[in-house]
Parts: sequence; structure tokens; C-alpha cells
Amino acid sequence: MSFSMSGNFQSNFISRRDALNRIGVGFGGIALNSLLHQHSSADSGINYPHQTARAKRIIFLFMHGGPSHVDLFDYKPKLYSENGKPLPFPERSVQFAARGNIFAPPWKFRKVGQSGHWMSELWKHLPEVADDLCMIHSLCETNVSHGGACMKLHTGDEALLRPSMGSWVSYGLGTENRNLPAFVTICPTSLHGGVNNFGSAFLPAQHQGVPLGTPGYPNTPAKDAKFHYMRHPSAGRREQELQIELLRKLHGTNKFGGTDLDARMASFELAFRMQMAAPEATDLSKESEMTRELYGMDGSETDNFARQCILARRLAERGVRFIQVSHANSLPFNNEQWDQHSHLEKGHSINVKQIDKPITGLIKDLKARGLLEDTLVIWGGEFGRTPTSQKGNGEVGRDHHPDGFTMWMAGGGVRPGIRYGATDEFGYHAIEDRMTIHDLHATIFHALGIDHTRLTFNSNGREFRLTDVHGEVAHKIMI
Amino acid sequence: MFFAELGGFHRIIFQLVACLLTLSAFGSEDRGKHWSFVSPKFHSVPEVKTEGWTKNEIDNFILAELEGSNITPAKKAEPAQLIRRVYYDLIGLPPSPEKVEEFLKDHSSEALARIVNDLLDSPQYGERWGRHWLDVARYGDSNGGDENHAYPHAWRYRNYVIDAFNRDLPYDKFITEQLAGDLLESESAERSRRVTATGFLAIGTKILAEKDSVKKRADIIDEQIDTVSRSFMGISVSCARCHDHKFDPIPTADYYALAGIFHSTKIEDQSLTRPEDEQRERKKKARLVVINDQLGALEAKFVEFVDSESIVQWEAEKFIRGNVSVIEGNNDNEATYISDPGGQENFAEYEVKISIEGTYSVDFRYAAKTSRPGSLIIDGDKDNVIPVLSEVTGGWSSEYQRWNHETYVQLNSGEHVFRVESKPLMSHLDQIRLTRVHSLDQVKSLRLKIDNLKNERTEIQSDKNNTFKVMAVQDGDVADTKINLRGDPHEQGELVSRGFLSKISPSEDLPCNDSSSGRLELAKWLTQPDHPLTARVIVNRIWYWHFGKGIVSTVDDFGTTGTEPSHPELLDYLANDFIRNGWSMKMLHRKIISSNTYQMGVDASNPLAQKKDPENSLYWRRDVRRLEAESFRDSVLMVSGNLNMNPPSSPLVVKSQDPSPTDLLKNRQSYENYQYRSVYLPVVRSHLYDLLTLLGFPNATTTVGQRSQTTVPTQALLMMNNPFLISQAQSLALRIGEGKVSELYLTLFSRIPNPGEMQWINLFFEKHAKISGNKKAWESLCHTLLISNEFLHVW
Repeated sequence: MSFSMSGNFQSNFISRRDALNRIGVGFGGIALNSLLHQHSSADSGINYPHQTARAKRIIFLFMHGGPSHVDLFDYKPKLYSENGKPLPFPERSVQFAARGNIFAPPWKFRKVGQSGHWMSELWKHLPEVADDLCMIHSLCETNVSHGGACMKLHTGDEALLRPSMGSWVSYGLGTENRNLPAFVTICPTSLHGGVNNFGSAFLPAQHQGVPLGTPGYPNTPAKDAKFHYMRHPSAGRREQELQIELLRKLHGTNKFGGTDLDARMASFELAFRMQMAAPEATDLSKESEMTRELYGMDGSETDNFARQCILARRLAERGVRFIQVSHANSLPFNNEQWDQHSHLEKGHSINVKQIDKPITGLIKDLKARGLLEDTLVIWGGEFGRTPTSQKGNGEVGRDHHPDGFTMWMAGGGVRPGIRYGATDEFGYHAIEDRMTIHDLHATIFHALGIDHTRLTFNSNGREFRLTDVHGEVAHKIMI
Repeated sequence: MFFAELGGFHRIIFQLVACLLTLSAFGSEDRGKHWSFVSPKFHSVPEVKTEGWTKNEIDNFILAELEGSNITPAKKAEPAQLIRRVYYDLIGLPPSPEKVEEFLKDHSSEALARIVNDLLDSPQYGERWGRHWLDVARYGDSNGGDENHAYPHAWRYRNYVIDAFNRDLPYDKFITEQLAGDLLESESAERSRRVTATGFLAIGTKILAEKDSVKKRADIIDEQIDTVSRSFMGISVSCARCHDHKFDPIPTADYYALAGIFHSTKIEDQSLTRPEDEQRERKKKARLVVINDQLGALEAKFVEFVDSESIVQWEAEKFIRGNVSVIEGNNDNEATYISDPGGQENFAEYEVKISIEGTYSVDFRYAAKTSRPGSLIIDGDKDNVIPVLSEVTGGWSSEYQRWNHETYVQLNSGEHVFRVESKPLMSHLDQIRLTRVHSLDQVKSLRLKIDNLKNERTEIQSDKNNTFKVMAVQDGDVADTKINLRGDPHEQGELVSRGFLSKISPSEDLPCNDSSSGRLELAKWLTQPDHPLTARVIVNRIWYWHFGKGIVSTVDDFGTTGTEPSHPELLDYLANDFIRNGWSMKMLHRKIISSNTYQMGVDASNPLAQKKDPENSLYWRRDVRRLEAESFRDSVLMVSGNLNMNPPSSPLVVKSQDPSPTDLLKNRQSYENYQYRSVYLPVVRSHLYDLLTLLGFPNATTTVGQRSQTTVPTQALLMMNNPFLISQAQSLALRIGEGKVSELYLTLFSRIPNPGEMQWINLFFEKHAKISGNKKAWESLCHTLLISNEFLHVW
């Protein structure tokens, strides 16, 4: 056994023997309590009373392709009044495609809930939980291409292959359920970084995200999404028990093999138990009629995402740390789900329809089960879309927009019903409380009680962390 | 300009702080004196007290330390263990039961030396040790990262590496060829090999969709610098892209001195001509001349068997009904033809008058670059739809118009309706011809000869082996580079002359000149005998691959953050000895394997040693080692009788870009059906074969000298439930024959089972057979032993 870990803090308190013992803890299992930050925040000038983790787990609803903030959540009256006119300032120099003039959203906006969040009329269900949402309107500074932006969002780096956010969380906090992986990604896409977006890079392999469904393009339908290798193609439980019994006996004769071999034997016994636990966790047949209805699991266009959201809740209930749900099935007229370079009206209408009810159901369900308190739900894509139209398409669309876009969070110690940050009057640049992807990561870690500057790993002589040398926690959004 | 740069401002502040911290820790001359930045010294071989144990100098260095700690080394390994160890170590495969038996009869040092020589001479050696280097060279067959385009020619570099190890190419030359093979003066055969070697610099991961082209170039160069510095020198230079290195004496200026070399270099696929290709090409051309002559003669013969008087021939555009487009030729030399106006159900109908009843040959004249099959329906007879128009003639334009024989039909005299259909697209149809045949059998046999010749011609024409394409580099516009302030390629500072690492400088100064990039000078600088890192790093890597741990345990980090060598004098001795022996890796293997240090048993029952040195860093015994992923897969295939030991003639192609779940399933099937050694499996970054990655195969994005070895339940699940392993176990069961436990043990473990094991196995078999019958129980036993600790480890 060699975890080959030599991170600063680990070496202080995890001996080789300890590391070995922890193998039995499951996929993850390096519980780094010392990371749960103890420092006082008095000097930061912002009063946040908690000192421990508010969120125990993450559900990340990933909207692949780049949902349009100006058509969904970031209301800009100027886009309607200036429709068809050029932007009064130059566009960013690095662009994905050629741009046209200002293009008014094809939908009206209205204020919803007590919180008064703006939502476009596309959203029929989400307004019911508006007051649980913390809107962040100032995401910025990511890459202008899908690949770079997806990798930056998931791993903190747009070019080099680094451990993904979920892997860091698994590495930092381990799992709460030793029979399930700490990091599960539901129906991931193979595009734009693909498996790197849930890969562990140089972190030990057990921290890599375990996919439910083969990562592909298009991705696996939720009803077919299964963990791999959870069943022998023909042998039954009793035969496998005999195999493991024989392995154990034969292992006893291997003199001088040392702890590596003991650990390997233990991993077989654990794997055997996981075979029991995993199918139960992903079996939706026991879900009540009411739950199915709540999420929209009814065979219509909401069915697929409803199943993904119910799976997410079931995994959250069972102690999985980091759950990603990908909205990444391809549309017939666009390669990537939310990537409406053309057909904006058609595409965004279908996209919202597919997720609106399932997401609303998820938040209501988590709340009803008392899980929302310590589960941080995050909604967002790799970038937003330009307030201007994209040139040269018959059906109007918008281009990629990496410097001012919206995500929202709910639960897990984040202040509900508030807005953080803002873009300019055209929804172009984030101008208030700018939140880079590094800041986003730092903030998510903070909610989990992790100090992003202290969760590091030494690879080839260099200390790495998710936020590199950057990242500021958005304390204003924390309860 | 608005606020786009505001966030960048945060970054600048952070980086300034990082830089200041660095500057304060940097600059003192002591840093330059870290042990690994001083050339290896010549140490005398230490004296030892124990007589007769040492076989060569390695043993003196090891035993001297052990004696200093009063630890007795373990006894020599059992012969069966030793031969299995040597086989796995050198070729990554287990010995056959016959070889084991032979060695048990004579296990003298001479017998072992013979085995070692045979293994080093076998092509399997390069497949095993070349793969070690491919880890270091972060070899991959796709660009990884975002889009994951295939690198269709990367495998040529892989084969170059395997070949270089098999030829025992001296390591200094190996470095030089990989960095600057294109710049060496070579004969033609040598040249193609050496250009192929530069694939080393080309195969890295790249973000090809990056829209900022300046940044994209800088990122690619950064990857090259990282790989070159880590692989050859065991240090990381990349930190210096943004600031002076925090720990090692690498100022930012040095980074940009190296960057200038790679800025002056471009990555490009290249077509090379090897002498053997030229010869093949001449042969092919000669054969084509013969084929064309024969075809002409055969076609002329048709006249003998057909009724030339009764030929009916018409232009395709003369249809009486139809929805196809008529495309007029621009001049007399260009045909006027019909085709589709866009995707639709195309048709054209003709009324044809036949005067003599008989068998007619139907021929169409058309051009097609890709196949657009259509059908012919005569007189509305939909039960006899005749496939036509499916040939490919090479292009769409007039010059590719060819007569193609489509079918024979029986026609009565009188009017007939010919209907040609093709959907959604249609070949460029120019003419149709009907020829009455009076000797059908002879025409058919003639036709067969013609078809065979045509097939051969197509085969020869489509044989792409004549172009030897490689992924390589060559010099571009030679120029020095400016420092990128804080690593931002858009903010340029001072110009830096191309060069190397100024503080890790061996004796001779080698300035870059204006006429070439400086890669050759870089190679010369690296391979100077007194370079403090190059030889040490490679002998340490080789030691690591033999022992499972390095003398410097951080094999890719010889900098100040790396570990100190456990046996510094041995490391220096090996480095100097390596250079003295002409940088020969095979000589180093022989030296290591013939040492007693290598040949010790794994016996850990030495309480004193256990107490003083539980990690065995003094080498008082042999460590048990797990098989690498490839050795496991290759061994499973071998013992199951399914391994093809020849190298494949062409690479296995799988889908890398935007694969669907179906594509991934197909990829998996390709991997599982592949019977060649694992080194020949494609390395599709981001979609590596999980059988390999779960067992520690690296992710092929950065230099990996030391694979991570983990023990996780996902591995166990794979072992228990992977259909490939289960089916191999079935082959193994069949091959050995039911109930032959001793043969099974000999094949898998190079030994026979002891009575206790036999008892357990019988009990298992009995219980299992009750549930699923004897055959299944035997297969299940084979499967269990294939995934057992004993099969997975080398003692």
C-alpha cells in the first residue's frame, strides 16, 4: 500500500499504518478533521457566527452548454429598450463567434416570492421555492470555450488536468457511508473535459467521481444509469461468497506479503458489501406516487431529469458527499444542452421545461426531509450567454459569455432569498462583488467547513490546491 | 476598459504576494548547493566484513550500510521465485512451467545469467521497458483535455521507444533523438527514426479549443518544458513561468530561456520516406502497370462475346420522367450528367426499344467520390430491384467518369421502361448502355478476372503504408522570447537569450546560435557527463523499476522538496558507472540482477531488522511487489492461451472525440477482444481502459516515474465481476482441463499447491459444484486464482 501522500498536514498525523486502516472506510475515507476550520472570523469584518461546517454535502446541478443569465434570472430592462442597437462599448477581445447587436430576451420577467428575485416567465415552478434561493449574479473570468470553462468550473484549471472539486471534497472529508463512494456523478457527459471533470488527477484514485451511467455523448438516460461492475454476469451471491472465502484462506498462506496484501483482501470483503448497498441506493421503484409527482417522474419531458434529481436525493440521504447531476442530454438542433448559438427561444424553452419541476421538487423534498439544512444545492453552467445576438444564424441565438453570469445556491448555510453581485445594465460585465470560479470554489469549501488555502496535496514536489493561489470566500452570502 | 480586468487585478495581487514570498526565500548561494545540483562524485567502493556475500559493487554499498546497523541480509530467494521475479521484471510476463522446471534443475549464477541475456535479447524486453519510459514521456494517442482529438500518428513514437530499448540505444543518444532527432545529420533510414523520436515533444496534452491563440501556444510550450525538465532532470521548472521557483534555484529568466527554444520549434505531422517504403512504392507502381495492361486486354476481349450491332446506349439526362437535376458540362470534354438537387427520393425513367430478344449486360457510366447506392427497376417489376450505382470512382468531376458493369438482364424485344432511383443522394450519372451477350458464361468468367484485377488495383491504390507519417517537431522561426510578466503571455517584459538552467550548469557552456532553435544544444547540455542530474535521474528510475522504490524515493523530484537518497554514494557510483558503460541500460540491468541485493528473498522474519528498519530502506530483504496493470492483463491473456506475442502491424483505432455510450461500448469491446500486449492498446486520454487505470495505469498527462498503487473496493469489484476476466478464466479452465489443480498452480504461480491448499480447493469445488455443477465450479476456481494475491504479486 502506498498512498504516496506527503501533503503538509497529512504527514503530521496520518501514519502509514493509519492510512492502511482507513482503506476500510470506503471509496473516500481520509477524514481530515483538522481542516474543519477553527479560526475566528472577527478580523474579516463580517459577522458570520458559525465556526463549523454548515453543509455536509453538495448537490451540484450542472447545466452543460451555458444557460443564458439574461433570459433566465438577470433582468435587464435596457436590453428591451435598446433592442437591435449596438452595445455602447466594445465587446471582449477574445470571442468565440462573431457578435451582432443587442438582442432583447424573447420572454418577460417578473418578481417572485417574498425575496423579489427576478425570474423570466419561462420558470413555472421554481418561483415556489424562490425564497430558498441565493442568487449570485456576478460569476466571471472563466474561459470562453466549453472545454476550458467546463474544466475550470470542475477542476479550477482550464488547461492542465487537475483534481475535480468533488475529488478534493472526497479527499478532504471522506464519506459518511462506507458502502458507497464519496463522490458520485449522475449521467455525466463525455464532452468538454469529460471524465476529467470528475477525475482525481494526482489525488489517490479512490477520490475520483464514480459515474452512475457511462459518461457519453449523449449521456446515458437516467433510467439506465447504473454503477459498473456491481454484479457478476452469471454467478450468484453464494458462489461469490465461496470465492471470497477461498481467497481469504489462500491469502493466509502468503507469508511476508505485508499490509498491502491484507488491505487487498479487506477490499474484497468491502466490495462484496457494496454490491448489496449500491443497487438499493439507486432503485427508484420504492419511491411513492407523491414523490414521483413532485419531481415530475411521469414519462413526459421532465421524466429524465426527475429521475436524476431523485437519485441525487437518495444518495444525499445515504451520506454521499458530493453529488453532481448533469443536464447534458443533447437537443436535436444544438450539440450541447444549453448552448443556443441559434434557436434560443426554442432551446431555452425546452431546457427550462425539462428541469423546472424536477429541481423545484428536489428543493421541496430536501426541505421536507430536513436535508436542505446541511445540503448545499448549486445550480449553474460553465458560462452565461451574450446580451448581443450571434451573427449569421437564421434562428437567433446568443454566444458564450464568460464575464458576468448567474448561478444560484440553496440550503447548506447559504442565506436564502438574497442576491449577491450584479452585472452592468446590459448584463455584460460583472461589476459588483465579482465572483471568479476560484472564489466560487473557496465559498463552497467554506460552506463545507474547509479552508480552501489549507486543503493541499503534494504532487511531484509542489503543493497543489483547488484554488491555486487565488480564491476569496464570499462571506456575505453565508448565514 | 470596463471591468473585465478587475478580476485580473485580484490575481495580480496574489501573484505579487507569492512572488515576494519567493524572493525572500530565494537567492542565497546555498540553494545552488543542494546535493543533486552538484555533479556526481567518484566514491571508492566500501569495504565489508562479511565474506563471500558480495557479487558486485552494488552489494558492497548495500552490505556496508547493513553491517553498520548490524542487520543480516535475508537469504537468497527460492529458485522458482527468482525466475518468476526476473521474468516479470525484464519482460512483464511469467515463465512457462517448462522454463521453471529447467531452472530448478540448474539454478547456478551462469544459468540465471543466460536467462537474463535471453530475456534482454527478446522483443518482449522493449515492450516492457519501453512502456516504463512511455509513463515518463506521458504517452497518449489523443490530445486529452477538452476535445480529445485523436493523434493518429502518435503510435510511431511508441514503437520507436520500444525499438530503442530493444536496440539498447545509449541513453544519451536516446535523449538527443527525442529532443533534436530532426537536427542530427543522418542517413535516410536513421533520419526517419530520429524524426519519429521527436514525437516526445509533440504528444503532450493540449487544449486545442483555446480561443486565445497566444495563450494556447504558451500553454503548449509550458507542457513541453514541464515534461523535459521532469523526465530528464527530475525537477519542475514550470513554477518559474510566473515567478522565480520557490524552492529550487530556477529564476523566471531561465524558464523563458528554455521557452525561447520551444517557441523556435513547431509541432507538425511529417511524412517521411524510408528506403523500404521507396522499394515498396516501386514494386506497387510496376504492378499497377501490369494490372492496367491486363485489364485493357481483357476488356478488348469482350467484343468476341457480345453482339456489337445491338448496343443500345443513351445519355442519362435524356429521361422522359424524373425529378433529378441536369448538370451541363462546361465544355466538350466535360460530361453532362444527372444527380440529386439535394436530399430527396431521386428518380429518372427511360423508355428503351429492344429489337433482339436476349441477355443484356447493363453498364452505367458515372462518377462518385463516396458510394451513393441506387437501384434499377425494369418495367415496374418491384420484386426485382437491381442494386446499381454503388461504386466509388475516385471523385465527382468528369475525369472520374467510369463505365461500371451493373448486372445482366433478360429482355424481350419491344418497349421497356428503365427506372433509376437513388435516395437521398445520387452519383453523377452520365450514360447507360445495354449490350447483348451471346456467350454469357464466357462473359461472366471474363468479368470475374476483371473484377479480381480491379480489386487488387483498389487495394494497392488505397494502401496508405507508403506514407510513413509521424507526429514530430521541427525548427520554426528562430528567436528569443520575452519574459511573460506573472505568466501572462499578453504582458511582456525583458527579452531573454535562449539557454538552459543557469544555476544547474555543468562545466561546458553551450550557447544557442541564430541558425537553429537550440534543441540540439539543450540535448548536448543535458548529456554532458558532469551534468548533475541526467545520469542520476535515469539510474534512479531504472533502480526504481527493478526494486519498486528509488534510491531517491521521489523519482520525479530531485529538487529541494524531494527526498534525500537512501544510499547517496551508491547513486553516484551507479551514475558514473552508467556513463562509463556508454549509457547502456542493458548493462545496468545485468549488473543489478546479478547482485545479491536483487536476489534476496522476501523473508521478513528478522525481528532486529523489522525493528530497526521496518520500511526496508536499507534493503535487508526483497519487497513483495504488485504486478503493474499491463503485466496483469498480459499474464491473464497468456495463461488463458489468448495472448498474441507478435507486435500488431497497424494500430487499434478507437473513437476518442465526443464518444457516445455506444462508441464507448465498442471501444471496450475492441480492448477486450484485443489479443496483443497491453503496450499496444491505444492510450485515449480521458477514456483510458478501466481495467488498466484501476490497477494504476497513469492518466498520461504528465511525467509519471512512480505509479500510484492503491487498494480500493472498485478494484475488487472489477476483479470479481469484470466479464473480460471471467471469460479469460473460462479459457484458462478449458486450456488446463478440469480438476488439474497442480497444472493450474504451476501455470499461475510457478509452484505446486501444498496439501492444505489442496484441501481448501477441494472443499470449494465440492460446495460450488453443488450449486452450479462441475464445469462452472472449475471455471470459478480458475477465476478465483487469477484474482488472488499470489497471482497479482511477485515474490
